[in-house]
Amino acid sequence: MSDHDTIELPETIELPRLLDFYELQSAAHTGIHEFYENLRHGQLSTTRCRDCGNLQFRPHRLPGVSGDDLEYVDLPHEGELFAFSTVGPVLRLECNRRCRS
Amino acid sequence: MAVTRTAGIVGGGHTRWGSREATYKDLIQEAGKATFDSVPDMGPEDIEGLFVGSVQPERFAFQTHVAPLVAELLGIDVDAMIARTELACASGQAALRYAWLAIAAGQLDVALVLGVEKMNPPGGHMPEAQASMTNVMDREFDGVNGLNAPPYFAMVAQRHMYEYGTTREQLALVSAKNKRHAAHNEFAQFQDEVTVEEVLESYPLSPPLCLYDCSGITDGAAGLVLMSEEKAREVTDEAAWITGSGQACFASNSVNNLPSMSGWPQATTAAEKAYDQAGVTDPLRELDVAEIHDCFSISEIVEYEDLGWVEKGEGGRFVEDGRSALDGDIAVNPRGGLLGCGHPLGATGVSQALEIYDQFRGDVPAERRVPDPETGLIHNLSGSASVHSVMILRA
Repeated sequence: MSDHDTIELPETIELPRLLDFYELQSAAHTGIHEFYENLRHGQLSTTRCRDCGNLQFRPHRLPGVSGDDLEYVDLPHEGELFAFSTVGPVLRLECNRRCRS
Repeated sequence: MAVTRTAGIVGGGHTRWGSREATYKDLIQEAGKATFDSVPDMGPEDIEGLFVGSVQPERFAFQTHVAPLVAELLGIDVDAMIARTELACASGQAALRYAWLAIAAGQLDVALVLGVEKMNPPGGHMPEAQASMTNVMDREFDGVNGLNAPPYFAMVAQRHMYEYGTTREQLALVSAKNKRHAAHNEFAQFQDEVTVEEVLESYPLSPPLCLYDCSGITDGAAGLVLMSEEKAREVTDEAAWITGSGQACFASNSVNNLPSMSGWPQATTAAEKAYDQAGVTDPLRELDVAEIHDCFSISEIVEYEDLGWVEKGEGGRFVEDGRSALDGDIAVNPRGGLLGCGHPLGATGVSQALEIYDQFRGDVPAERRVPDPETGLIHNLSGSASVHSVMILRA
């Protein structure tokens, strides 16, 4: 190990940019920061076109590329599960057996 | 679209793929030397155009402007056209397609196509490399919420099983088949055969997908020499001619809003364009060998269907009935696929085309040799499978 591989342990450690999800959810980094702000307050939301009433998901930034008049609306917290998975160091979920049936 | 001039692959070379103690530059030089060694009486001084497929050298190897880097390392003075292509997992095929179109358009006669990726960083920085893979899909929504390739393809597998009754064992059959081929490929990252049971018992990385349902994190490179027909006939009578190519992209880089989670209609569009251009009217009968994008076992099953070989939902049965085996209707992934060879992103499409060229010439080990192939296909998907790229080659 060379000298420059050794550091004093700091009080706080700045994570690599991509691993720091919260910074990437801020207004300076994304046009859909309102989605993340709502989520932080426990509310799932997305954008809706005021003209035609269509919902978009994922949310579009305001104003939309098409010039649509968009607004944030709350989404319900219950729905039908369409598909799901997990990734990473997960416990064995006995998925093989369940997925066969 | 009419193709004005014919172009063909006249040679190519490969590095060993895997977790290599080699730098990005080392990989380029290894593949470059192997490529030039494969075409006698030709060298760097004959190359007019250089096309480099590489996806994330900025993050994996801290280098940009990589096409001129390749020119320097291989001693090529380009005098017609030079570019790097980035189309995620399809970057290698994109490089080959642009080289082909440049020749077809009469801009040049001799091109080098090189694909390279260094994905295993030295010094324990794998989390950084893994994090980099999440910015292939929409970073501000999919990426920051932790979605990368395995869970997306896991959900495709889940929907395909739910909608069509595809079984977990059928997914495993794809992995076992391709890894059996890779066991006889000296360049492959994974050269151990695995049984269906071993696939099912491997680590549940992203259920229902297990570890052996997934391609690797791979260092590797591959190169091709592409020539106009006139030039090609001066150096070989065994060129692999590009006869058709197609691409399609759905207007989304996010997994949200895709037209389907159990199928890829863009693959059908891209394949139909390529078949039409190449004069292929019945792909199941006319194709002898295909290198298709098995980034995950489910991908190959969906591709059997959406490349137009079987009805929707019949993909699982296609592998189960041995119709994608070496002696089946179409020999699929005799190279070993991404599941067996690994997936150094920018190099994969180049390696697939090289495999078709080698199969046409019978220059592969007998254990994975396709009997007398004359028509071949390569296919890549990229990102959330919103993009599909297909190319047809003829002996």
